[in-house]
Amino acid sequence: MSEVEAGASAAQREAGIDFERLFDVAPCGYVLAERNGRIIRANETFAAWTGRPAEQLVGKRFSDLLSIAGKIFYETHFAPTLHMAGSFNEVALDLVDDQGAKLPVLVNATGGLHDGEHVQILFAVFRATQRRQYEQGLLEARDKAEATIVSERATSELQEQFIAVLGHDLRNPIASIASGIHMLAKETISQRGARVVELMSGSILRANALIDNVLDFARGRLGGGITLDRNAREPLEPVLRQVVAELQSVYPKPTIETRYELADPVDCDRMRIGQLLSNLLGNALTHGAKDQPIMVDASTSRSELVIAVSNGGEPIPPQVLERLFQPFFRGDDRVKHGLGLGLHIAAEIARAHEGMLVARSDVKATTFVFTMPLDI
Amino acid sequence: MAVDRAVLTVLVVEDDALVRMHGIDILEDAGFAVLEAADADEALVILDGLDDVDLLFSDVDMPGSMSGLDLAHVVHERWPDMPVLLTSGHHRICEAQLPAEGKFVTKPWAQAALVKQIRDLLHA
Repeated sequence: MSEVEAGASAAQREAGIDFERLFDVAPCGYVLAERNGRIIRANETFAAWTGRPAEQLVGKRFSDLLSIAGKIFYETHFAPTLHMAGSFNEVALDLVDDQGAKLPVLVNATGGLHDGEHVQILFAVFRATQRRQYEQGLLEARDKAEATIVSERATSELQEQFIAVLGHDLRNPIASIASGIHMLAKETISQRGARVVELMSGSILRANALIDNVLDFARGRLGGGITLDRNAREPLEPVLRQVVAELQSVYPKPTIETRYELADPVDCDRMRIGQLLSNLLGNALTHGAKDQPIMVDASTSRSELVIAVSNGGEPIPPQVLERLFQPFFRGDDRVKHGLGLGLHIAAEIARAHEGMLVARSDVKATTFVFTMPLDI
Repeated sequence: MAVDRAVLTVLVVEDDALVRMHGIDILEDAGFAVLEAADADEALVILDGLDDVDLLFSDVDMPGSMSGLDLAHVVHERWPDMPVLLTSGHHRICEAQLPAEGKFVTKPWAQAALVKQIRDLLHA
């Protein structure tokens, strides 16, 4: 009798528990083997799984009962780890029964080496059919999800390219109309006609701003990002003044009050800063109170450029405030104009200039502040 | 040198008829004599036939054998003293891509700024 069996019998006699019976009918397989893997004793549970009587298993190697992959794994990983570390747990293997059918199992094993001496190996074997099916299901679901992601990414790229091409192509006819409007305005025309021309100019301005924002967004999504054409020689103020003048002509109310304290030169992309101001101002004109003036304040200090746009009206709640700069975010559920890109693009322009755009809002005013460091 | 002449002549090259009319309009209002071409090939025919064009003002995207940018380089090779102003609503051409004496302005044009830029180029 082995040491293990002798010990078991003594305890059995002490406690009156039939440990041998417990060994045989345990809800898992128990296999005791020599160091070389040859089975000394297998319990009935395990034997039943192999489709053979327990006595027939004695002398067989544990690895003989595994699938081919299992045999290889046993030799290359299981046995060496067991002998080095003294245990090896949670090993997923396939038992093969006498009919050749595979039974997925999970194996824990102890033994191998103890105080420099080789001891016997004890295997605990658990059925894992359901677990294996569950794992298979997870793997399949993951593969399907990954395939879906790849296909959706391709579709989304296609859509974004479409938007980029559309925006690009729209520019031509819109530029053409803008030129036509300019020339009509110079013809002899009735007062009503003049008003119509003025309104058409406003619409074209808005259409252009929309296309600019859409194209910038599409280019950003396709990896282009906001490209800058920096120029430290040309003044910024005329560009800002023009943006204010154009928008005030489209939206006569509320009045836009301005303060400019810009020491030239400002090293920036003037067109982009103009676009940033246009987006902020357009936002203020659309959403601000119509009976309170909008304040535009642009100034430079030694270290930074600051452009602030303030409007009156209902304060923006904090949970909306923190999402304002996300693309396509449109604030509250009232019908609002625009795609919700203007603020996002403005924030991207700020970032491209290594600056920041922040918003704050209370009952007194809603203010957007753009700051940009000036390299001395 | 161009500045000696009383009236300076600008060649406007633009394939869209309305936009071309608009450009001509702005320049004539500013006191320039204006010639027009719908693409680079027409422009070169005009430039070959006359020798008193003072400035080339051209769109970038045009049908025909070459773009406005190519035209600018060809013109600079053959008439090195002629300033060139390129314009586009789509591309942003940076200084490095332009020939010497070349500048770029984006569309849509701010009338006063456009005229000033052309005058600056002519008197440089």
